[in-house]
Amino acid sequence: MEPICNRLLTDILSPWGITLPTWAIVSIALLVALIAIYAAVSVNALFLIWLERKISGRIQRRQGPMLCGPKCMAQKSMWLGGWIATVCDAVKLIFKEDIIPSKVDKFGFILAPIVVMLAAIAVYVPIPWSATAYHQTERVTFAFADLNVGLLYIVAVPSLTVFSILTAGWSSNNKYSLLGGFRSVVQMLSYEIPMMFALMGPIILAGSLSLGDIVKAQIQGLFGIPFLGWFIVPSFIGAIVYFICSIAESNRPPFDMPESEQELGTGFNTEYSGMRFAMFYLAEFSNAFVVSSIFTAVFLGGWSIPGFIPPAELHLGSLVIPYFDLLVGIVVFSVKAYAVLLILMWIRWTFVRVRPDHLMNFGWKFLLPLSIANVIICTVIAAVQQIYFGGLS
Amino acid sequence: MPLPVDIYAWDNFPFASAVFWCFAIVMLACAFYVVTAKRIFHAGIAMIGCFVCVAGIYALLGAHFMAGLQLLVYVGAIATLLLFAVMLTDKMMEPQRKTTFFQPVLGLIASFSMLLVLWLTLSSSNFAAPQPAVLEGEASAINLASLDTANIGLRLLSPYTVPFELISVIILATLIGAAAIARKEDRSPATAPPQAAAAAVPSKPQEQ
Amino acid sequence: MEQLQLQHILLVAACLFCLGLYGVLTRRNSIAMLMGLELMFNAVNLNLVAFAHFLPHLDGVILAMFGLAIAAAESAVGIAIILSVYRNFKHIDTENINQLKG
Repeated sequence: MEPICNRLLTDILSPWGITLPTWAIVSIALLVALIAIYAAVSVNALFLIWLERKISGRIQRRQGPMLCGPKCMAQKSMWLGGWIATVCDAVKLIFKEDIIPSKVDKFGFILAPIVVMLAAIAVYVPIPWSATAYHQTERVTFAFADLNVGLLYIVAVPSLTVFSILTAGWSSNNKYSLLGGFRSVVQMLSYEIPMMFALMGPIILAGSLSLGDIVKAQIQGLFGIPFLGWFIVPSFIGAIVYFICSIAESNRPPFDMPESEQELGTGFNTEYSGMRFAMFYLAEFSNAFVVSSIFTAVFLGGWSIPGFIPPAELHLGSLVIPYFDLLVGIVVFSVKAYAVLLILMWIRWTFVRVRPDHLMNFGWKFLLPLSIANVIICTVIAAVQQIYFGGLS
Repeated sequence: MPLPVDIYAWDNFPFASAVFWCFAIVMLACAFYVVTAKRIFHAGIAMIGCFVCVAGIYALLGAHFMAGLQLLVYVGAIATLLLFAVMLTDKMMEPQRKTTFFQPVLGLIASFSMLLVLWLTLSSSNFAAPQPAVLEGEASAINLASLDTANIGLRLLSPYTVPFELISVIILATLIGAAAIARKEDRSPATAPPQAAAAAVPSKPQEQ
Repeated sequence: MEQLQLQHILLVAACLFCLGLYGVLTRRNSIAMLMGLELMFNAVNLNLVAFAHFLPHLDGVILAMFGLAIAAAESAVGIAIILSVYRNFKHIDTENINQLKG
């Protein structure tokens, strides 16, 4: 975002002859990025909670939320009904009484939802929403910050989520919370390793940890065929392994052992109510979206459409839309990410919850060897690509 | 419209130094809380704060891969393991035993003298002249000055292959060893030692 | 304030090392001693990465990575030993574990 904000600021200010010093441009770009990331995460999470309730309703042959919202649209339409429901929920949660049980460990109890929310927002940073070639010599990726170790950052930041769930479980001074916290940590740690190996395939194929480079490497195509460029083709096993592991990483059903309502009384969430519970809830949905957007960026080609490169500025008669490829990229990325998210929600309401020992067996004895096999296959494909077709990046 | 303050001069402000000192002060405060906290779980949480600040300093110094590894290994693995151990062994309900007076004082004297020695050595050293990196043989393909991930991978494979393989053997040995030390002793009759089984046999006719 | 210098980072790493040393020497709980030990490891790694940045030479980061892996292995074995001690002595107070036979 910083190079694009830089460009945009100089474009806007140069007709008036104002040149800002570097520190001002960088500060404004950082401020814009902070506000944008916070707005994106909040609005997205609110929308996703409504979407989840609607889709779960439709899968269970009922209508989902229908009564919230203005009469004209919200209460009549089956598809858009109750779209203000999440906003009403959020307002209700803000006004709830902040109850801290007397025997809990206050430091950990208060810290845990804060760190979870921090990690959920921080992991949005390297996601490559789009790229633009407007006034740039090559395509510049539009992410909040296109880190050159983006994938490592995305695998490393959920460690803070692990720590905070453990802290939440321990501080609640409640044996069910503690058990929920233990189970969650064990589940997340066991499924992190096959996830890393599954992501290793695209890293080898693209030759870089940066998510912008990974998306760019999928544009050129595989063995000379542009339509097979998406990394889901050479790294198909890795895509499936990553998908399953990411469901486990974000504690979603069918891997929601830590927060199972029927057995543990919502697990580590038991003692939390009101806004603190809302932070855990929002963090879970943000994580679901992050996981599906990483899947899109790494395996489904991100913001690119095979065979079509949008122009950097669109001329419609006398109207010129600059940064057109940026907007097209954001739309394409969002469509793909929401499609993957719909599949995640579909899986949630279809499958039965996994038992803990089945979970550990599946993660260690099945997914881990499969992901290592995926690394070997991707290395062979990358070597063939390098030797015969001149490499992907 | 000229401003009274020259805002272009602020470009020379050392932002890297300011960010480093912010991280360093938070890190030292968290480390101080680690060594002086009464409740050991709070010490664990402060230790994680310390690790995150160190990862921030690594990222500031350009070692981005090391920063990611720090978060992944120290926060995700070591700190989680330490917190698990705290949960399994913490006795929150027992009254805290008072330590003797002299132990903290002696510890303070020892660590303060160590700090003094290090401080004097560092202040009197001259770090101003960097040595140019010596590139020999096949290492000339890598630019030793840049801390990129690709260079780290190449360096691990050419001069540092043996330590790399040894580390994997060490981690394997640690895995097996830790699991062997920490597991519960198996007291089921199927795996009882043979003397106990032989001793159990003569007692049977007495019961009849 | 002046530019970021190597000496500043080395001083901060030395402070962190001495805080860790104080923790190891003073704390009665074995796990708290391990926490002090981890602080010392971090100080050493910080030192190495600082040299890697200022020299500049890549080997500092490589050595820091090896140190990281060894620290992880060592803390795993340390925790295993502490759990075994807890099972035998029912506490991990270092002042009272002074007999060879439990």
